[in-house]
Amino acid sequence: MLLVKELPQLLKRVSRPGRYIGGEFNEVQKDPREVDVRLALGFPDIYEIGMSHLGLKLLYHILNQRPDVWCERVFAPWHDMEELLRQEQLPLYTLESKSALCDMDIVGFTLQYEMTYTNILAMLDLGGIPLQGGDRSPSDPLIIAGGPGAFNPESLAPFFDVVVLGEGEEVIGELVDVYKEHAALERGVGWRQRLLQAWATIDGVYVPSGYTIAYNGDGTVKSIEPTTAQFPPVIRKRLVQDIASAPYPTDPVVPAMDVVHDRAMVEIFRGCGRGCRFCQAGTIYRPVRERPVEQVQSLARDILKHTGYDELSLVSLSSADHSCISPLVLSLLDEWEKEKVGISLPSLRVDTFSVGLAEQVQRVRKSGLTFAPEAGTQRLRNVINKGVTRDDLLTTTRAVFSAGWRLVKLYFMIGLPTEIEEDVEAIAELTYDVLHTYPRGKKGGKVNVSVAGFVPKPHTPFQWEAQDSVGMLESKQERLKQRFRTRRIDFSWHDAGLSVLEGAFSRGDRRLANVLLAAYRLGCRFDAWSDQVDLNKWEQAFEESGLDISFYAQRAREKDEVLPWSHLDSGVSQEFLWEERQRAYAGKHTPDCRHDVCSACGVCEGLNAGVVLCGQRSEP
Amino acid sequence: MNRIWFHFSKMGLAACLSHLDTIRTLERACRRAQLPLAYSQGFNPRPRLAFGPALPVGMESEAEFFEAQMHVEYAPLKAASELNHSLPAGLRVIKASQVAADVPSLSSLVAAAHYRALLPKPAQSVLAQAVSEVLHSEEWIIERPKKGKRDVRPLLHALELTGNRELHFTLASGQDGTLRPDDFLTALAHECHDCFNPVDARITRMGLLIKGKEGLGPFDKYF
Repeated sequence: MLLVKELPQLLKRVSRPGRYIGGEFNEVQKDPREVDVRLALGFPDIYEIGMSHLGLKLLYHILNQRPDVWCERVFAPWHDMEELLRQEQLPLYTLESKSALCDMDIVGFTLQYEMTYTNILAMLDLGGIPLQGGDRSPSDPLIIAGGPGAFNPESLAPFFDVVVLGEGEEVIGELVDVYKEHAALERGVGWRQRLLQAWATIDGVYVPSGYTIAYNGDGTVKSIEPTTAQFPPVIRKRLVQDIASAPYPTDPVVPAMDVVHDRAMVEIFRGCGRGCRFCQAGTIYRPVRERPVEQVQSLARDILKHTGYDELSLVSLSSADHSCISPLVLSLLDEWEKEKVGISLPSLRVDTFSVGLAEQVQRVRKSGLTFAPEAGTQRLRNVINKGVTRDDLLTTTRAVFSAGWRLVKLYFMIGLPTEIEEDVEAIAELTYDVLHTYPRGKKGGKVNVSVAGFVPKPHTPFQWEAQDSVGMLESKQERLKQRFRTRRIDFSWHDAGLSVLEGAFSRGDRRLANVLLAAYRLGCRFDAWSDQVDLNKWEQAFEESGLDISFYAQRAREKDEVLPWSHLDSGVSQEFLWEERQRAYAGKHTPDCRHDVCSACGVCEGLNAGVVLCGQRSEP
Repeated sequence: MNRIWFHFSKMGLAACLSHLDTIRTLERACRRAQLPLAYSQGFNPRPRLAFGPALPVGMESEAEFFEAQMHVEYAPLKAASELNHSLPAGLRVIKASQVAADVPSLSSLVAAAHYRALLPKPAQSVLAQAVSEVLHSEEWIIERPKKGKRDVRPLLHALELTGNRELHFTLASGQDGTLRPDDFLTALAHECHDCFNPVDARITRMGLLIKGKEGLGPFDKYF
């Protein structure tokens, strides 16, 4: 607060100072003396990226609705700002009150992507908070994590006091209530420990320090044991069954700066029933729960009124899959066209229905439509359970081009399980086939193809797979580069070294925390940005820690191996995942559980949950 | 068709917003205030808004202006009040006024801007000397990296050092040439042999001027 007066002058030294000022419309200001608990929600990337995150808006809204809580925001400072803070000996501060991060009672981070973890350490350090949970005193904030990375947070275990698995809407309030009880007590020795033990009794709450990991001689995990009976052997995710009754942010903070995905967002459903075998989101967000049409319409109205946005985005893992998407989109277009509000659907299915839908919503065909076949051959698509056929794709792109679009974007992966040379070659063939669906003789027509290296993820049927090595990925990329030497195809790929680094941390165990710490101290930041990541420093970090990156990334896991996340339960059974792996290798399709047969993954039974379509719970 | 001109201020941390950020914010604020904006035709209708001269990032201003066209009659006072409920911290509408259809555009009318720079430390007499020299010369050649030399004396309309920490100056801003206040201060600092650090000066735009028959006059005659 003392630095507010000097801030405008200080910020002249950094690029894009708008990142660090707060003051946006709908920002929540409270009197700190009138609240019992102060929280900061941290997004471990820059403001422009973090401000688009729906989860942050949701928790900000829920927490600030409580009169006894003030929740503020903090984002990762760019290099020049980190330098400025260190030079001027200023702490990383929250945007609303400009308070030092260490002045908060609780700081929460969202674990979106492993390569943002060094930013978390930077934010803690700059915020004046000891990095190791064990070094924190009763006057230091409690540090909590959530988000998809919570399903394997082991590489961050020493740095977080608590990790929350699953959906946070309800559990966050429970955490705050228990905190308040303990905050009223004297903060002597053992105060933190008692609070963590109390938190550990809440469903979905994982206290890493409550578990000891033992290792076998070969480096695999031998056991994950609670230190006392107060810590449950397994922590299961939290799920909000009735999302229609849960709170939703209808007055989100509106950034003044240019940020990504800068539009009104309504989440139209959670989860995905398609069961693509490489996809972690498909597992951890089960079962599918769709919002009723009337609610989406009403939320849209409120958000647009409170924000002044002129674009509305219908958000989900696969928006065209909402059971009532057609009437929903048509009704929104009807209501909002005269107000000059545009509608956008972030992701589409590969079928002409989606093209028709896209035609309705995208009045101006500025950007291309994106499709994700993921694999080049039908065989491999069957392995990953992506039911798209070559005919489906070509019929769709033909429709896209004849509707006036001049660009189609395709996403593929290399390094998928059972992949052979023919599959990689087929990526090129399929891409050309797509290009050739552009009307002959007509000017224009382009395909952007993006090929990512496959990263096996925990809690998926492919969690036991070996990842391709850097060399293997690079040679496949090189092959494709050679094939795509034409102006009408724009080929982009991800750095193989970065894919493998991600692969190591994605299935990493607790020992990787040392690598993370070393990398942070060597100056690694913003590793998710390909022009910022320094793979040499990461190599050094692995060396210093005496760990082998290929042990984590390239090693195939045994069926009965204790995986580092075995104590964390997504609701989907290990038996189901292994069964799906077997089906993958046999090329067998598993249908979408929303409309077809239940595949008995375990989540509905175990969590007393069910699929909700258009707001109605459906029976399996 | 109904043209309303708004005079607003941009103070405190809002100075860190760029011109484009400000434009975006104003557009959304108009929508939040439910002003009956007029839109352009065609595939991608845009609200009919027009803006005054851009203010470089890092500067405050008590003299920012923008125009909004409404498709129906709308009381300027009401528009100002509604907008003030819809603006983020640091931006505030001071006045609003209806403007006749035949009045030229904002950007074409503006000819100069008056600035105030607060120096972090009291200036030495070298500065007063430099000020006097600049005012008395007919020519003032400054050089910008990669942009070459130019004579900016004709673009400097007034300059005064009040007390020993406050500089007031009026620079051309518009269709007949523009001199940015930060470039001006850098050049002035150079003249007095770096007697102050231009980056540390706190600059505020105080007013805009239009070219009338008797020379430069205040902009707010339209209000």
